[in-house]
Amino acid sequence: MVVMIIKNKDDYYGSAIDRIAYLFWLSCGLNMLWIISFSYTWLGLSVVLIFAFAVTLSLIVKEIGKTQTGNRWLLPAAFGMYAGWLLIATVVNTAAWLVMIKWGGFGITPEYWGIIVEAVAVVLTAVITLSTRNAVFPLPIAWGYFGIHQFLMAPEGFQGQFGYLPIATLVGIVLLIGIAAFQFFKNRYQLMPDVTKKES
Amino acid sequence: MNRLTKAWISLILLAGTLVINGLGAFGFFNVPVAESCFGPVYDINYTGAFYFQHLECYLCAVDQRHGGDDHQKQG
Repeated sequence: MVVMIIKNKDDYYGSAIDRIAYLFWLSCGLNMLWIISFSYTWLGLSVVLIFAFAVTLSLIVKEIGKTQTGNRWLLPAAFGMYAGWLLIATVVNTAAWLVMIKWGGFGITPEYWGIIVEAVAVVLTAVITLSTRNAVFPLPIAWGYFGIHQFLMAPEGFQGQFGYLPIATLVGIVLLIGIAAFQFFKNRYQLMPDVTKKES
Repeated sequence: MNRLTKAWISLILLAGTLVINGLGAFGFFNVPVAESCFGPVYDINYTGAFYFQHLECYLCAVDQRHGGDDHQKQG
């Protein structure tokens, strides 16, 4: 934001301000409301808010893509990381709410649910990455999976009591890094493709 | 509205958001729960583990609100 203020007369940053300002204001409002709702354990409301928040950030990333010229990296990196992190936070927030309402899970064991949720999150990440063409987006999710894996194996965590979930998590990390690498290659080694150049 | 104004409003809103996040992280909005629930949360900042700890913490809070103590025992 500081860079955007300083460089507001620059074509790239000026255009980015025009495209994302209102969405960014909305994201800030949703962020604040989410923090308050989650802190008071109004988890149902927090799920609605974080979904709206994640969608808003994805739209911001998409809008940044429309202004992308040259080898600009600051906005795609900052908002790509932010939106990616929100996706994994949305998954965890939703899981917290389902636990709170004591959802039965159709009789499927928590371990298999964990694997299903991780697989769905990887597919969602692939869809959003291909749609926004932001190569950074999958990386914070891979980092989140690493944190999950560490906690699954840690003595103060689940102590390795699950057999398949840590393996699925590691596979998820590899796939997520692969998605990021694929998009980076597709973008001709840029975080987001240059809109002034025709895509190959 | 010109671009500079929009950028300044964005920065002010971002600062406000960070303040609210900070207040949330330091428990300003939290319902009263046992201190043990909050122990590990602030040791690990913004990693996946943070969220899992956070989740456990809030599940503990929810559990206590409903009169249970399963999570509290895990402490």
